[in-house]
Amino acid sequence: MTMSKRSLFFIAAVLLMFTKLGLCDEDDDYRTDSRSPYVHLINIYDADGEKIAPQEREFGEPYSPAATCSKCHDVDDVNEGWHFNAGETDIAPGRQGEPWIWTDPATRTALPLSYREWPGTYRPSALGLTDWQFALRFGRHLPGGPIFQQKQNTAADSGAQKALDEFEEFDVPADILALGGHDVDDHGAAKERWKISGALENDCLICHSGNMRYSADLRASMIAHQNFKWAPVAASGLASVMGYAENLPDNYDPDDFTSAAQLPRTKYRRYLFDDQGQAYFDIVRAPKDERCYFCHSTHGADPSLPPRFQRDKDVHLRAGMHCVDCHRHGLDHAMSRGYEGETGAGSLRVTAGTLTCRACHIEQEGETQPATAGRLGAPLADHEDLPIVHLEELECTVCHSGNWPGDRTYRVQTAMAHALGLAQEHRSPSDPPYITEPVFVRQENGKIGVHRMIWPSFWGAMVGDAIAPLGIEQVNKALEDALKAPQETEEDEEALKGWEPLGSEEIATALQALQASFDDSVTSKAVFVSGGVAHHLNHAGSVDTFEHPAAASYSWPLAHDVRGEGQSMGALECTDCHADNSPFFFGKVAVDGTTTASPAPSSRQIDMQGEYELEYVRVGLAFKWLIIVTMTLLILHILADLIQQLVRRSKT
Amino acid sequence: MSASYEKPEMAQRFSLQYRIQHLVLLLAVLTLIFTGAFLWFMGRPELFWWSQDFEGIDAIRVIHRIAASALIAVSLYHTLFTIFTREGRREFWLLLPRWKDVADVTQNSMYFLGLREERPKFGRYTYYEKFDYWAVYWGCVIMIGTGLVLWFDQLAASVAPWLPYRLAAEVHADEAVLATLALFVWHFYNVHFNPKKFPGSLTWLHGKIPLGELKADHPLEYESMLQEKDEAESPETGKKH
Repeated sequence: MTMSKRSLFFIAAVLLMFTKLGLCDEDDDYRTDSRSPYVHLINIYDADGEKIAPQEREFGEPYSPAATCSKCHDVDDVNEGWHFNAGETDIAPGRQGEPWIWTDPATRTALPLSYREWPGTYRPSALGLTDWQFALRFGRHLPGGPIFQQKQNTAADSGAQKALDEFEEFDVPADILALGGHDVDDHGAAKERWKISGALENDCLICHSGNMRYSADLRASMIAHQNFKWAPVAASGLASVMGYAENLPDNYDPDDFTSAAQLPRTKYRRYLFDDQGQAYFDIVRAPKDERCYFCHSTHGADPSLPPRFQRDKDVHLRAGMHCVDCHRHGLDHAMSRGYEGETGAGSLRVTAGTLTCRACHIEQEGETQPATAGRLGAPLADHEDLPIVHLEELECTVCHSGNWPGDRTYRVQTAMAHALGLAQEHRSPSDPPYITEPVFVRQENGKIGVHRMIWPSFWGAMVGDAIAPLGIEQVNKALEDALKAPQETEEDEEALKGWEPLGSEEIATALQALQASFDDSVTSKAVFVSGGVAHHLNHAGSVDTFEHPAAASYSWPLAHDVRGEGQSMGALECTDCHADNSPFFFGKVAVDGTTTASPAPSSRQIDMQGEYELEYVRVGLAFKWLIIVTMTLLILHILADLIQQLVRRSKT
Repeated sequence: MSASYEKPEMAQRFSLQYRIQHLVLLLAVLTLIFTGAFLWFMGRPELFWWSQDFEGIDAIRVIHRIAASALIAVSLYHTLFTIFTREGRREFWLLLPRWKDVADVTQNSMYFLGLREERPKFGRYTYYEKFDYWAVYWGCVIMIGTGLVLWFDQLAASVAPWLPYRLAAEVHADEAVLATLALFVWHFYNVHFNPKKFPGSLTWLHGKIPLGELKADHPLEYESMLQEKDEAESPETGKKH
């Protein structure tokens, strides 16, 4: 009997169906649909999708989170999430957030960088940084993502040309590009070491590890030594990694079998695997707060701030909540950032605007059931005796979040800027960059919010009215002799980390050296931006300063730690803000520069609050003019009367 | 207020009510000016070094607030007097700005410039006397309003957050300067330093004005008085009274 083609097709289809249902490993959408966690006793796979078998072979390829987790989860979808699209330039940026800050004590550079289009930040390409260099510097606190994991075999496609295109997009004069430091040649294959370092994959465990065995510190160490591909396996503790990719030359060819032994080696801890080569992964669906803290910690670096044991935790956490209770997302990891007016696609389309302070704590008129107000047991705010204008003018965080404002702002350090969470010797409160808080800033939405702030410091070129930073390489090369890097002294270890302020002469020397490095065909002026002003050489060869938008501060809203009602500003006294010396209006905002050449301009909180200052000036000016005009008219009237009386008297 | 003709050389211009109100206003404003200036100096030790060693600021502030209370009281009393008494309503009606005042300003300016032989004929209140009156109204509203914000800052922050303390302080100081200048330059010229009045009119004390001055400065008022007098002395009209 011969089987028809139709019967053969049917049998094949049935067999295929059983095959897929029987193996999670072969299915990318395998589900439990239970609130009970799934026990992740699973096989692991390398970046090429090959199953790793430590029970058979101790040494092997490093496991790939993408290849392993994608067996059951849609990793491509996850990679579109908020944290993982940090390197994407075509994602809606949303409200300004914390930038990555390129800090170089030698050149006194501190420049906010971001791939997102946050006004006031620069694209990494503005400093001549490639994606790989960016990953090398900041991968310690980057979870990875598509832009950092798709370059593995594309060294030949120069990211630099793309960088140049982006640079031009931002209205930076083309002439500045010609000054050097952004040349395609400098960014060619020589700096594209993706083929050696491997990809910086999105490491799921950095958030979803259910225990503290996962070592973000070890992961950071791997990345710092260019072991991108080996970072997840080392951090997970499944294996130890020997050797560093940084030791391999640029022309190293990993496909050359004869030299492959020079790559870092992965030695699996076989006792962690069963006979089937499966390992237990302690995975939690909702990341623990401590995992969030790795990237989102702040540390008070100001002596006037109380030590940690005196400080209260965020009131939400003390109430038993967790970060992800508000900062939620679906499988696409489109995370709710939790601010009013947030929009987005995917799961964010559902959560945006429903997980804000206001949504949970303030009853809204016309709200339909189920109301968001009071959800999760949130106490409803009555704000008794508080004029409604406060709710219209201020973000909730102004009164409820951050450090209590003082006569001046406080210096703080953040995980992303100061590599908090990584064990380092000689951590110092004076470590750059200098971030200050709380600063009460009028935001784009018209409300005043409480922010952290940094004043950019960089060497650049001025062409026409525009100032743009110069490439790192060019600055380093030009200033190699002009600037001395801060030196450690036995007497004062503190001096090692802080900025060593530049004096007028040093700045002048450096500007001359920088100017000399410019292409003569370009009419441009070397400038140094720091402390809220730009410095340049005058005709006499000394340093002058001038104001310029490029020297303006960059700030981003802070939301935590949240203080409860009793500890909020104004809870007891209106004069917390409405007083002649209130920190909210008249506290000093630190303008931390890196020079002694010119005193940093003093700035007050009210200077950051836009409309108040305008109103204040407008009304004050109106009254001054009222005095002048009124008195002028009255005195003229008096004089005319006197003269007329004299004239009449002389006639009689 | 009705004028008296018992003494032909003098006419009654202001009643005791207005003289007392003016006296309280005078004392309160002068006290406020001197103590207020002192408080302003005290708040600027960088400009006035001596203020750092002065320990009586609290006493000065108390005096300032007592005078402020007197100003508020007389303002309220004047308002109530204006609303609830026939005399008050009549005077207020006469003090309201009119188109004639605009014409008077124009004609008086022409007179000053030698383009007109005669001054305009003023009524009971000249335009510059009306200015004096309404300037006090304006000044009281501004000074009392902003002063209350400075005095009761907690309450003010609650009920008037649109007027922040700093702005109130700035406006209070500016308006004080304007009021002080207007008082010592303008008002003092009109009642003291004007050669026709020097060394000063005593109307504020006895409420009377010489008939000659009334005739010269307020001819319409003078004519009105004569007409009233004639009507009062007429047997026919007298019956009406």
